[in-house]
Amino acid sequence: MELILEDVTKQYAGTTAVKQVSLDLHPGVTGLLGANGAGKTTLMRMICGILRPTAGTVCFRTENDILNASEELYRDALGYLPQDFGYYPDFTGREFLMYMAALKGIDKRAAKRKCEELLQTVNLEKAADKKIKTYSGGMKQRLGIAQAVLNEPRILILDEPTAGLDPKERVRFRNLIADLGRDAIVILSTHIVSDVEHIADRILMMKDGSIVFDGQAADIQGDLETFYLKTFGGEDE
Amino acid sequence: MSNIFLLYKTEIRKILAKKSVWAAMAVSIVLVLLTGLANLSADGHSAYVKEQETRLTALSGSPMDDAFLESFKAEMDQQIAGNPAFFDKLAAYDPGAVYQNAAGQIGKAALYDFLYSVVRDRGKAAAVTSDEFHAAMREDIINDSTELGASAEELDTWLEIYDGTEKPMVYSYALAYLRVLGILYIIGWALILNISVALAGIFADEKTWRTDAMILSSRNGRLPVCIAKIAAGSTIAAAETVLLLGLCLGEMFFIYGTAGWNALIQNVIPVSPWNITAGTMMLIYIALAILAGILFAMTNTLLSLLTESAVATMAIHAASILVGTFSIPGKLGVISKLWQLRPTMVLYAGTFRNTFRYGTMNNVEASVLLYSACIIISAALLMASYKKTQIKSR
Repeated sequence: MELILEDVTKQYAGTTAVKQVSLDLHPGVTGLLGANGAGKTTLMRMICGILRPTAGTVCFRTENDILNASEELYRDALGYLPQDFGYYPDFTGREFLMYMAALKGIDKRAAKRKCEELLQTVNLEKAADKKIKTYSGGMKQRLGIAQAVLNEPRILILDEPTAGLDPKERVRFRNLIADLGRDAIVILSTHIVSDVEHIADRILMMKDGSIVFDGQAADIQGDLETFYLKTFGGEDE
Repeated sequence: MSNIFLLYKTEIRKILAKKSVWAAMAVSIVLVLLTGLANLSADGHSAYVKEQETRLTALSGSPMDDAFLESFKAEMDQQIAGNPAFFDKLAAYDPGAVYQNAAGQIGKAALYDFLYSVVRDRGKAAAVTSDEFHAAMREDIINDSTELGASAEELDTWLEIYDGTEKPMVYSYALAYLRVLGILYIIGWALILNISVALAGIFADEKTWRTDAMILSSRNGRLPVCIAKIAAGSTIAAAETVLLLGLCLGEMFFIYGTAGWNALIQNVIPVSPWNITAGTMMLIYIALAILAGILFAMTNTLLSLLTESAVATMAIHAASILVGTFSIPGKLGVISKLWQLRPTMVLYAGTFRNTFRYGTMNNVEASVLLYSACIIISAALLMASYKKTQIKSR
């Protein structure tokens, strides 16, 4: 299976947020690095089908089919953690996951089982019946990660997933992503180099709406942080 | 299917989780109950109202012939003769109030008021003959219809229906229904407020809560979510309508008694040409109000999706409802005729005074058809718009 982006472009009034991006993505973890405003979130949203490209196409080729990003079956294969993860303050963590499971078309029995499993994975089982508004930033982010992987997605899009996580949680999260990356196409968008340094098989760097680097992590000589800073001419957040 | 049901339940939960929804509902309930109590204070204390109910219920079922009217006048005359000092003084001060006061003293104020509402002359109300009473009633229907701008053919159709009702008209005590109609506009405004508060954010809140991206990128995040939201909004609107109308009916039945379900509609709305009972009228009002409520819900939901702002939705909705309070003069013909079908008309208890015809349909049938069509069109527009919804830049 592969995720194919062909000349994907997004223009807003007067600006081009993403410029003719073409990519073939295969199972494994792809780290998408770039400064704020580089076009990462716009690209992620187009991959998720919630933002229509001005030009170009996004499609998912499976063993038997080619699915367009606007199709229901494409969304069925998708897991998405948006950059600004939202939630319903009066829902408990468990209720929220059950709702997300219904949105993802998971049947009730399987959803219950999967929710319990994931609550444990993201270390929220004790807080599962507490209202989300009482959660810390890290807990909310973990809940967001849990909802993204509920349907065992074949395409997993994570936009700034480690925001709010403490160092211990980051390690736990990286392990989870590395596991998921064995069978799924995982795109992890971040501006924190260490998030992708050890788990990404492929690194993409984005600047001003274009992919300015596309290569294997192993191809990069020296450490990624230095390479990243060099690529972006020393610009920082 | 179980997913859709869970989505539907969750949408209802999201709506009911808002404190503003409960606050608006509490205000509405208090408003409806207080308006009912205000009616009671206008009708006298509760013991008097109960006594009147007993006396007038005893008269229910009697034809309003000369004997009936003369007997009522004789009772009032007897009361006046029994207390000459008081009534002489009252006659000197306000002659028209003598019979009105006497009717009140014998516990039959509602019967006097009913007669007065037809003949609109305080002295005549006590001394009207059966023929005069029925002629005045028929004349009222003609005048009302002419004022509305109905054609001669339309009026003839309705007069034929009215003339088919039993004459002399059978009297029935049905004060509870009359009072409900008096509160209907309060219920209507309360409903509009509640529906708007509950549903203005049904789509817009997803943007505020930043949950829209997750929803739209999920398998059931398009059409099923839209259907769940439409169903949840309609359920809330229907439930609020039934609750407020039920509360009002319950309160009025408690105060004025339940008598009058089988009374001819003219006992409640003398100017109505319809040939139905007060009970049927109430059921039609409830059904129309539910349908109008669902229509308000749908337009709210559509505005919430299109504007992506709960405040803008409420503002546009409030403005359109205000426009609905205007009446269009009968001389404007077809515009005036169509204007009579506006949903806010249900709230003004004007439905059964309307003497227009819409093809072969009466205004209730036309309203049902029109509201249902608008609901279906709104739902189709909602689904088509939501299907294409994209996340705008934040």
